[in-house]
Amino acid sequence: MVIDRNHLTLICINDDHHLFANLKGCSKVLSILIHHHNRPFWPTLAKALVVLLLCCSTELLNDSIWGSEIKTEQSEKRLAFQIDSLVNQAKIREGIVSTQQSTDAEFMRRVSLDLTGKIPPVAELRFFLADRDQAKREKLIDHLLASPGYVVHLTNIWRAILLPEATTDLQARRQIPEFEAWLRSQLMNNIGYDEIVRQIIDAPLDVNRSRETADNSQELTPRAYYLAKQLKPENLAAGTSRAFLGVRIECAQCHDHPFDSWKQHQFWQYAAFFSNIDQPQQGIVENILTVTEVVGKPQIKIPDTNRLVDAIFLDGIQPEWEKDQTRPRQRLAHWVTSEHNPYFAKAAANRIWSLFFGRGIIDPVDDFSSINHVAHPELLELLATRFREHHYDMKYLIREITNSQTYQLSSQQTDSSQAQAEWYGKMPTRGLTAEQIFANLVQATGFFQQTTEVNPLLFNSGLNSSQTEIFELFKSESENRLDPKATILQALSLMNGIFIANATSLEQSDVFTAIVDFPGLTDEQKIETFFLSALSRFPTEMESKRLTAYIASAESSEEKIHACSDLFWALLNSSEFLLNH
Amino acid sequence: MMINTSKKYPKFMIAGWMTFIMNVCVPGGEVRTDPSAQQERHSIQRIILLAPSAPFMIELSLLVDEGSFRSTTTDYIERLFNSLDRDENKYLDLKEIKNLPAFGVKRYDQGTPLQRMQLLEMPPIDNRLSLTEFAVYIHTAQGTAFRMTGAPSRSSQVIELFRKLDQNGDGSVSDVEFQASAQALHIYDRDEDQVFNLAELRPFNADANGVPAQPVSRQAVETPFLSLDHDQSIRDAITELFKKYVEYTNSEKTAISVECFKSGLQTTAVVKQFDRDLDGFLNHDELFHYLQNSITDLQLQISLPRRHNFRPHLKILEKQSNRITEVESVSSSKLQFRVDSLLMELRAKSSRHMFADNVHFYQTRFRVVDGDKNGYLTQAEFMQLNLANTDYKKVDQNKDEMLTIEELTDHLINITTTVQNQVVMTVENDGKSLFEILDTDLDQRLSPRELQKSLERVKEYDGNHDQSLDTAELQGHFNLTFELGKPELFIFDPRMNSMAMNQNRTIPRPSAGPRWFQRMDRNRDGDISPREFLFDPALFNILDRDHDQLISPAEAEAAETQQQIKTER
Repeated sequence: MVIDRNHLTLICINDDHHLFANLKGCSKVLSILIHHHNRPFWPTLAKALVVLLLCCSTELLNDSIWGSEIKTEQSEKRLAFQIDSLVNQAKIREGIVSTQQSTDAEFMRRVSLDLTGKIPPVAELRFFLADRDQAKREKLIDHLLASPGYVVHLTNIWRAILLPEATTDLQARRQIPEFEAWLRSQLMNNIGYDEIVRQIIDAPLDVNRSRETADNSQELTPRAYYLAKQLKPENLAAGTSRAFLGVRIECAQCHDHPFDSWKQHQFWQYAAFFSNIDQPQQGIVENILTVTEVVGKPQIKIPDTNRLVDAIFLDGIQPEWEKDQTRPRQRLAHWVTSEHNPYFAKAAANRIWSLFFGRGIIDPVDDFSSINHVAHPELLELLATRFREHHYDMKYLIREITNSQTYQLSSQQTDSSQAQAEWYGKMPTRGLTAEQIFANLVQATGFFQQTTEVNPLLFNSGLNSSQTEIFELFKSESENRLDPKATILQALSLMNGIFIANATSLEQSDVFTAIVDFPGLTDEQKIETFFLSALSRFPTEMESKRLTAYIASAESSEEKIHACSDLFWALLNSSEFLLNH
Repeated sequence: MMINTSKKYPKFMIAGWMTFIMNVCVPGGEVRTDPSAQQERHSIQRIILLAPSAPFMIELSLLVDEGSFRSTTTDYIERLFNSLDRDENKYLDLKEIKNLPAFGVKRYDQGTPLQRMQLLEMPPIDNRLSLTEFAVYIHTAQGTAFRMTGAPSRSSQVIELFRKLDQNGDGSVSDVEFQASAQALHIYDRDEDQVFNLAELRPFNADANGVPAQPVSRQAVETPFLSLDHDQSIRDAITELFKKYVEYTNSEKTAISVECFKSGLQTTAVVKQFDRDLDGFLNHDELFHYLQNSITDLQLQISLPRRHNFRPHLKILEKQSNRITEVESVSSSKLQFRVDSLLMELRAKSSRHMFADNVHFYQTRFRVVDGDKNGYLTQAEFMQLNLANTDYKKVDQNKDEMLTIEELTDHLINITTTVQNQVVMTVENDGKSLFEILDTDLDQRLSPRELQKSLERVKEYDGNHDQSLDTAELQGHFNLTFELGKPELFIFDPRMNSMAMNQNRTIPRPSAGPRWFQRMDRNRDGDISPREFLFDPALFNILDRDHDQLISPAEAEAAETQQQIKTER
């Protein structure tokens, strides 16, 4: 007999009058095995119930049986669960069939790429795959969020979002080191996103060298943001509205917005908040010491007109300037991050979501316009609300997104309905950033490089030519990673470039030589390690069989090494290596 | 009130203290000061050393060309003097002194004009101020004739490893904190290779990225010395005292115990007299008065040549504290001693020759950068001179956009003279930094093994054997140089150079161990960590014979040999 109710499982087996209660852990399926053979059933059941009650009382003390209910309730309250619930409702509505859950190896590679910007090291991968802990995925996410890789990767991401001009403009490129150092310090201390934005908009521009601290380091500020935008109100208005509010108001800079409701004067009213910054020499913004800023009502003249407009927020409210003498930028920073701002939380949540799914719930992520279709409005609302409630803690939002089943689905398509990325029937395959590609190559091949203070993005003369070459080849200005485009140059560079050639040669390579030279390894073990190094997974049985046969067919030890080299080369050139899936 | 006037206290201190007592206790009383003490006072600069156990007061008698170091005049002083000297007789009389600004210094802002005159005059007493006396006053009130500067630190000193390891922020790194050093530093490991180099640990510095930084001479480097001259400097010193001697402050952190200033029994007795409310603590006001008239632990005399040609010299006039030990006079311009556990090496240096050298250097450069050899420099040519912080228009006096060598020479003489108007005390911390102590293989990186052994390495530095290392135990060696200010051309920044060298340095692959070992050692620190190991973790545990979580080259060799034997069988 099996009674199953509220997590209690009573199993009665007719056998040798043996009564046995089995408590399994704390979540606790209670199994009672009652063996009764040629005996009246009820007395045995009575005994079983007594034991059950005793057990229940003990369990109650431990808060385990009802605890599991509470736990379920808690997990239901959890944002990750709610994300899945909303996405699944939409899937049912749209008739989308979900694919299966990702394998552990698939998950670890994906989450490592998304949280630390690179594939996992072989040792950690082996440990994770061998781990039997039910909660290992959640633990891995927490581990990665606490790693320095998270700080470095998120710094790269936010720098690319906030200083997009740095890829082309040399002047802006010079601001990268200071801006990155500031971003790193913020992310290292997990400063709330709203505070980061407030600091950027209200960056102190009068910081001069005399305020250097005792150790010669400078007080870190995000002033580089202003220098990269050349202190121009129109650049700053376009940059801040796009990055922090998801609004492309710069389309209304010269005329009213062609598709949306933004008018030209609205753009300039917003830009006026940055008009109190006075730069003595137009175009020369290197010397920020000469920048002055006044308080009070800011105004700006719309170019090529005689119209002078006052600073007005995008929601149409005009601040009262007479009341207090705060800097206009300070007012704007307050308005942008205020909880009543209709754009801020949603734009932030949408952008963070896009980092994990390749596209925003609203896509493009910086186009919150009336004509842009939203597939999951409730989901966006939910993410924004919870993000705000958690004081814009980025780690919280990222933790919940990556813990969701939606994020942990496989990227393998099992049904044609999964082809539409916006319904999340499977995890979309995404392209990698130039930084990620280089970091993966370093991780897979063991290429040695020291962290230096000079950012390789800055100077391409000398220091690390491989890195610069890959950055230049793989840099992309698009934030949407769902449609990765490979160029012939990229392919040629990976196939015939010095980097991969060195990585697969016995004389130059680190990982390759370590695997080939290690004493006492079978061919299968070597193949397995090549796969773990490059693709972060074990080879399938079929792959293993075929490749073992291929290597075994080599006649001399030299040929064998050559065969291994070919295998490693092929893995590094595979699309599986070059994509996030 | 009985005052002990034994010769243990310097004349100036007694005089100052008397003045204070009289000012405080007899507000209406007339100020009487000894003229010779007045004369001495003008060549005295007081500094305070925040030594590990208690503050240490030093009085420097600074003479430049045998006169007070404050007697040099500048354009600014001369202009101010002329504006006050209404009758243009080259002296400020009692009437004119009424308009003399006090620069926020309380002492100069009270009393009758006669009393003020007495305070400022130097012998012979004639009730009027000459330009020299006036210059002394301005320098005293503004603290402009003396400057303290820290020599640029080495990169390893800048990274503040100590502070990073001191997780509970109690000012010392305990054994437990050393054991947890790898975890404490983990977040700084940007490339996640488990070794920490200077670039990862040091705070952001713009210089490495080509952004021009401030000239070395103007950078502020933290030193444990503070000057005591005008009121603001005393207020700053009070703030620092509160920060440094936290253990002596009262619970509200508003006063410091008199015990903090003990250097001997008599000292305590004197300090107690400043504790007006007799609560055993000196509050801000009491401390302010005490620091204006503090007991001196050590008196030094330093003579530097400016116009005259003589060898600079340096000597101890008097030492009143038993905290000074191991005094050794190395030469007439060099001496060393210890204060508590700190070793001080003092040196007086002449920088006279730099005056001419600086001018000659740029005169030679002038000829080189004058590409068209037309005898003058255009703005573009002038840029190549690399004369820091100098505007072409300022140097080109007649504004004809033709900068002649005479104009340049005039400018150079002018700026060099201004620089030489100051006596500069350069404090160089020559102690080993924690990073240098731990970096045993001198590769400018800290590896997991070096961190593992950190506790053993620092044991010998734990002077007081309290299982904990504090900064004083590390930074026990200071070089103090006294000289006249020198042109920026002669200021060298070792930090920048060492950093630049480090940037281009590649770490060679370690040569020990079999080839697979050298290649698997990705971070090239000479060991394989579990994170670097590519194969089954169980195999790692077999190879790691001493179970220290690192495979050494010897362990790798052993594995290699074992495998060979196996194969041969």
